[in-house]
Amino acid sequence: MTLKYLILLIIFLPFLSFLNSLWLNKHPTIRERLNAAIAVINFILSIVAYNKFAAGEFVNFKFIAINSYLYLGFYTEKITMIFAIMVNFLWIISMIYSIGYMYSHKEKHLGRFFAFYCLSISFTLCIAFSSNLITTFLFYEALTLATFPLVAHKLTPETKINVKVYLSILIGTSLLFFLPAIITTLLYLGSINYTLGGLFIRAENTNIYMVFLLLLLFIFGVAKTGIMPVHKWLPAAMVAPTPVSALLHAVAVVKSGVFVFIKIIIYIFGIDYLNVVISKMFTINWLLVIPCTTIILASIVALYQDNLKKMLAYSTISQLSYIVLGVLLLSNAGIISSVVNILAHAFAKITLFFAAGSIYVLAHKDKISQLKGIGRKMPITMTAFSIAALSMIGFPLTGGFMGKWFLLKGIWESSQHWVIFVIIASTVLNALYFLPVIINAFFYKYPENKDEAEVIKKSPHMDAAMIITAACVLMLFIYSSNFISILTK
Amino acid sequence: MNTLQYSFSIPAIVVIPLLAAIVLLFVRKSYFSWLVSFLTCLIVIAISVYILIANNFNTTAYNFGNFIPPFGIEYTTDALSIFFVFLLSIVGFLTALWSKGNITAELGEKNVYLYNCVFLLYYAGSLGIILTNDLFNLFVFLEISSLASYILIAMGKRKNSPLAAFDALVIGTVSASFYLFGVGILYMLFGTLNASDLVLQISKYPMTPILVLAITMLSVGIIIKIALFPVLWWLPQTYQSAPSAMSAFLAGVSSKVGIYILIKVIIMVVARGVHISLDNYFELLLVLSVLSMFTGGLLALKQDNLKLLLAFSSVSQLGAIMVGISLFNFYGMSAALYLIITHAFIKTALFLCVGNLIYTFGTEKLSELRGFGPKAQFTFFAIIFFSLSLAGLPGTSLFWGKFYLLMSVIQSDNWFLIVSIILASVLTFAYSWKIISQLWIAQDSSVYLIVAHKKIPIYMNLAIIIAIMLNIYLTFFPDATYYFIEQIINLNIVSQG
Repeated sequence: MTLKYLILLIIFLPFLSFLNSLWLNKHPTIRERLNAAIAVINFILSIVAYNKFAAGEFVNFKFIAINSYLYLGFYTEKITMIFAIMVNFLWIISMIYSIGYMYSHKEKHLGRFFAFYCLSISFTLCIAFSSNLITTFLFYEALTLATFPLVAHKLTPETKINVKVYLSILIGTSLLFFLPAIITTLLYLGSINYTLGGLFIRAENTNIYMVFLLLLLFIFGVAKTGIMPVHKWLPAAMVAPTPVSALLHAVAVVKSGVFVFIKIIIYIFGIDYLNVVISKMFTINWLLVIPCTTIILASIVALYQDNLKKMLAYSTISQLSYIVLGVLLLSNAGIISSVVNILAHAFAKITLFFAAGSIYVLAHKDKISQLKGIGRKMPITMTAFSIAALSMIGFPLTGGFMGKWFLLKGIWESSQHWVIFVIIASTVLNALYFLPVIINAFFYKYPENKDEAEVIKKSPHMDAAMIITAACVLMLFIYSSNFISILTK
Repeated sequence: MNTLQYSFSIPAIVVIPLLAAIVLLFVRKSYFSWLVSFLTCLIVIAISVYILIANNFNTTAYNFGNFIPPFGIEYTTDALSIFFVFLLSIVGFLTALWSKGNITAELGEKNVYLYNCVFLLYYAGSLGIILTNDLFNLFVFLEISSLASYILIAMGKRKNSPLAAFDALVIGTVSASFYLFGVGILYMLFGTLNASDLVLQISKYPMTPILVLAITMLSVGIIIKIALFPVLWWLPQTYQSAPSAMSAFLAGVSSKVGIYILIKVIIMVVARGVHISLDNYFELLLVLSVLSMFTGGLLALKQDNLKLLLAFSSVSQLGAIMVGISLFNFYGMSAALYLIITHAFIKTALFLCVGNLIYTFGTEKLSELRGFGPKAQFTFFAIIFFSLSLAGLPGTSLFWGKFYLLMSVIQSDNWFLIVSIILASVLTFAYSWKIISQLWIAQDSSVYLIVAHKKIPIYMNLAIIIAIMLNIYLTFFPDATYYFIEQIINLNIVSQG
């Protein structure tokens, strides 16, 4: 099979499970087995596709063309392939997890839930493979819409308010900033294709202030990166069932946002060109202030959260800005740090959410203050949680350490030394809000309340999922050099 | 100008519906009348396909009674008129198909023949406006279609139907009088009514105050017909009080025909003929369009009546279309034409869906329809689909039009305009979201109060399914339509760029 059809299949299979879930609504066992099989096949296919790509095959094809410059298209490049493998791998694990979660929690409308879950994966992959801005934009919006029924799953009054925030921020920013920025780029350059080295380098007589404005439009237009002040949608999305928060709002949605941002910086603006623009405008790179503010502010907000999922959401916002920061360093080392951070954060955050979800479902606790001694009752969950939390802090032996290491390296190389203090402050803040949870969980006694005759249940599905992702967090420490060698090749 | 082998097919588009309407006056059988109007719509589609294939976007003329053009009445087809004929006939086909299930229930068995007869008159009148090349003949057809529309509005079984019909009559007469006055002055000055001849005559003539008066009169008449900013209040009222099928047809085509007259008379005759540039004229039009975009949008946001909401949204969308036209450049014009066709299909389908709701639940108020979803699932999903399309959400058919519109606006470098178009599209989202949230998310106790009276006949759902398919086609294959539009712009409507 050629790479082209392989890519199409990788995109189509999640869509197939979307249809499956709708059709087989009355046969849950068949539905889940089929979906799990599809997820595994898709993961294998994405590895095969990667091998073909690594062997030098390359595709770039288009469909639905309006004219010569406005069409939808897919293509392959390094970061995409890594991203596709990661998403497909985590899809399998979160399928396992969500079966455990949704049945333990006795959620309703499972067919709809799994359907849109798979649809979101399909759109995420479409974003990853898209070869121009308009394709990216269309699937970016489609992803917002596909995740909307998941966020609105419970249909409680609280959900309605949050859904409104979720949709209005994501659609609002993309209409107000992202789309005008795309059209301006198209009119300015006559093309919106992702091009190696950037598009702007070819343009003549570019007005650097215009370019800077355009860059700002893109930064705030891609609100899925969770950059402040357009971050509110992410905490709002936490009303969704935990598997949604885990895979979509910690991995697929936010990472595709970051991924779009990386693509725009590398393939539309071009690192070299932006360096020239920035050095003409400022003596130091003031753009970095945007992610740095987000890193610090989001960490401070996370410090004051009592709701575990909300805390994790703000931690996600803060961590995403590490990736944005890495990109905005405008150097190769920065980009590499971003890719490592994407992987490290994905595995660690999904573990954290898995843990939060199983605490919620099995022990019915969602507040940090209630977690005293929970580690003794749920050792597997809390051990996984601790490993992931240490990775968030950047503790050695975890993937997070590698992310921070490469980020610091990038910062040092591009000689923006003041940013190092931001990273140190953020690490301290991370430790301040994660360590108390771990200490509380393991070093206190579980309050035995005789009134509550509740027993903490067990769910092998959920435990298995957490063990795998926590192991991946540790493995990433060892194998991150492999990814870097792929990227620098 | 090349000739068509069967050139009588051009007048046949107008004559067949007219004849059919007369036949219905004598054979007053309800099923027969529906069949006639349905088949007429199909025949018109077939003829326009034939003309398009045989003629390949070229301009063709047919002279009535073999009189040579400046003296006789001439019918022409070019890419532009075929485009509008397609639009009209497809929307007509959808509403005719849909009305099979509904009209008997809404108007009573004995009124069905009358409805179909007047519908065909309206249809013939609108088609005549599009095909004729003679400005006075255009006025005649304008009157035919307007008169038919007053009857159709008055047929609505609502309290305010007669009043709305009267309002429409007054406003329609005012509009037509202005137009007739303008045409009269042109005839006085140049002694000709033929559009192609008029271009030549105007270009030989200096710009004088009397010519300015003529252009003003024509424009005022046309602007009233389109329902642009200052005179937009009559349109929502009309749409609301007409029978469901007729609201759908009116929403799809009535203002679009007005826009066609604007393109035909102002852009293709006056702007081509006169020696001065009409930049100020189009700037004024632009201001009016932006204003009606916001007025329509803001008023739509306040409505609880779904029909009124959709009607005000039409006003807003017409404003957006007129922005594209008054920008008077390549992107603007193609955006406007694409928006015309997508908006027509979407709005017609939405009105048909509302018709479904009125048929089953007997109400069109959003507050009373909350959470009706489980009781009329198909209509529910169709409304959600079309509301999202109406919002111009990326990945829907309207989005491609919006994209071109934004392109033309950004190209014009007018910051005020860029901001207002973006704000207007946010407004569109807001009222589309209102529909969705009221019908879907705001589920409360009223869910259980609502009672489904009847099961929806298959014809009604079939029409909506066809509309959905058309929309999906326009979403995924916009290239064919854009090719068509390029051919229209090749008629030198605006300079290519």
